[in-house]
Amino acid sequence: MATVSFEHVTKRFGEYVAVDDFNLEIQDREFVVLVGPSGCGKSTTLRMLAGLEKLSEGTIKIGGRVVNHILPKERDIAMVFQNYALYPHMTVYKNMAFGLRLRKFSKDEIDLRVRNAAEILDIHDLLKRKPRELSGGQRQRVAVGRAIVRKPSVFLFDEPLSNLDAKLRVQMRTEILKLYHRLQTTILYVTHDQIEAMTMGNKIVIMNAGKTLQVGRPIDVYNSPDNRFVAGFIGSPAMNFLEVTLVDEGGKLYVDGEKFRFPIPADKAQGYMEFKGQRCTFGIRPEHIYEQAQSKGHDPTVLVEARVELIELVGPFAILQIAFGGQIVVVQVDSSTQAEIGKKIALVFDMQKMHLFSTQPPYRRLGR
Amino acid sequence: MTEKLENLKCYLFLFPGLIFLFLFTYIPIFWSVWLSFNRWNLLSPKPRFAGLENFIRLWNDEVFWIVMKNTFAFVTISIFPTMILALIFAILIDERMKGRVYYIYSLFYPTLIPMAAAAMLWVYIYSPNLGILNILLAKFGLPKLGWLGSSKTSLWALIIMTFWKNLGFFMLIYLSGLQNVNRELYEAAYIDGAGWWRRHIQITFPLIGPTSLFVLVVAIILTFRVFDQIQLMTEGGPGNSSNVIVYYIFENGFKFFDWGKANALTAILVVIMLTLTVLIFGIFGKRITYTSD
Ligand SMILES: Nc1ncnc2c1ncn2[C@@H]1O[C@H](COP(=O)(O)OP(=O)(O)O)[C@@H](O)[C@H]1O
Ligand SMILES: [Mg+2]
Repeated sequence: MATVSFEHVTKRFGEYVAVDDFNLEIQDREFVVLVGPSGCGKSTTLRMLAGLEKLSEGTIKIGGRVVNHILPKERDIAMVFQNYALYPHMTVYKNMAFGLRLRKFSKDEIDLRVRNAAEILDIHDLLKRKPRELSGGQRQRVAVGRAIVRKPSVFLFDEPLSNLDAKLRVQMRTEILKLYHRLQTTILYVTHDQIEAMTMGNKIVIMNAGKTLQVGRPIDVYNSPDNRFVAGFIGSPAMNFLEVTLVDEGGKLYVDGEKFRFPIPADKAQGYMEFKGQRCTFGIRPEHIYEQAQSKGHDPTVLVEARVELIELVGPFAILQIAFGGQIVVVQVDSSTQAEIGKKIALVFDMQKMHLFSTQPPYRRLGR
Repeated sequence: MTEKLENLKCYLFLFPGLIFLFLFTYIPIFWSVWLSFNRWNLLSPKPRFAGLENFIRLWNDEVFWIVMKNTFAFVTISIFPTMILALIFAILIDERMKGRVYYIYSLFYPTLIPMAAAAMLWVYIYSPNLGILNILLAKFGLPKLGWLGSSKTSLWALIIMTFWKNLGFFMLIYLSGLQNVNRELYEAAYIDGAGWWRRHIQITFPLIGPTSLFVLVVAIILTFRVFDQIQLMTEGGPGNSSNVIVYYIFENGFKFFDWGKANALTAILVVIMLTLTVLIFGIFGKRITYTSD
């Protein structure tokens, strides 16, 4: 159990800046997920915390102690690697006991801990097997087991589920969460999968190109993304973006695309007043555009008719691709939809859920 | 039926290769073994069956025993230091990013140059008065050694030179073997608390097993076969102090024209190498971990 803090941490590989001025406070027993596209510096950040990579600048503290120059084994951390990194020539038991033996634990204590972890992870039948005799999911459990026997104060996970098939991934996701509630330790978890990030973290950190774009609770990040990148990255299917101008007509604000004009609700418009006349990006999530037939009581001024280009049925809901405003807009509707490919459909935009972003880097969210 | 057909097809494709293997490998070996039971020398230029005569002569030949002792000394003294140092150098180079190519070349260079050039170089290094080795010894106030010229040191001098010549070759084989060891394992072990030595003893050594087995067999074969440097540097001398089996085969065949004895020596060499190879694979072959999965 410990806090972790990154203070102005930068990592350069030669000229290339892999992690740029990274700042993060992790509370004791917090589950923090680092999420971002591949190559954005997540692993490098995690590896600096583990002590596998030196910092170019900045400070990392674990439990208040600066660990910049402290060996990995003295940092009281354990890491689960993407490819499991199980020792192929050792049995599952020996894999889990390895770190404990190096730390000179007594035979009985090692045995107790290994068997206990094996019980928790339901791998007690596998203790005598070698890694190559295990399935992907079982290897993953052993890798987690090897981490928990050490009872570290911080767990590091580097994309631990990305080698598993979809079904197993969902299953392991809940198992890791259960484990977290059981062990009550600090976890820093890296993934490129935003769904994993949303469902697992108490707090998520969205990174892109070495920079931190937003830190917050998943729901807050979802509801109010700080910038266009985060808005597009978090949420699936991704948010729709349309280029518009903010126009003021008789004290009322409108988003004006060339082929559409939507009024902004009065309470929201307050925050946008200062940007009137500007070009900006209008963002709305697929789940915030409704099929008129399925919804009641929406403002008729945001009713549009548009042609359905494609329908993807995903069980409980359907994802429609709509030709609108000179581009494709994605809409998520109930699977009872009456949409037909090539036919028009009446849609309602929920303007209460709209976002506006600047058209200039770093594409910040406008208003509040 | 189809399975038989498949098998037939396999043999058909292997046929050309098998012909060459038989013509130039198996037939000469059997021929040589057959000749080892024949009397065949300058005085009786037609091979004539003579039973174990050649082997009995070898048994009573003082030089044969010196040669065998030297050969086994050569193999046992040089193999393990060569293997261990080759592996350590490979590990050090493998862990090093900068100047990697430079280190590889400087270690591999001795293997690359022809033995004749290497022999010239070492004759100079070992020369009693001008050689750098003796100059260095003198610098440290140590007595000069005879090196190639003394029966006490000649074998050692050749062992050292051969070690120098082969090290880079085995280092390169180990270096490629190390590429198959997953980097994450070292990081996992590092976090688990293993230091440099322990990481390599607990991870590299077991996982490099298949490569080591290969290196061991190749090293044994190469060392049993040493010839060029002996011919070029000592001719087995002084006396027979640096004579080894292949050089003694050469002497019997091309200097003493005692082909029966030369073939008997060849047969002994073949039997020793076969036995060792079978033994090594028998002992280690099943135990080592193959990591690719
Ligand atoms: N040892 C290294 N040397 C040079 N560049 C590296 C090294 N490690 C990572 N990088 C680069 O740093 C960037 C971030 O890498 P990484 O942290 O692994 O990304 P992520 O885990 O988010 O996919 C990548 O562009 C990668 O190519
Ligand atoms: Mg990564």
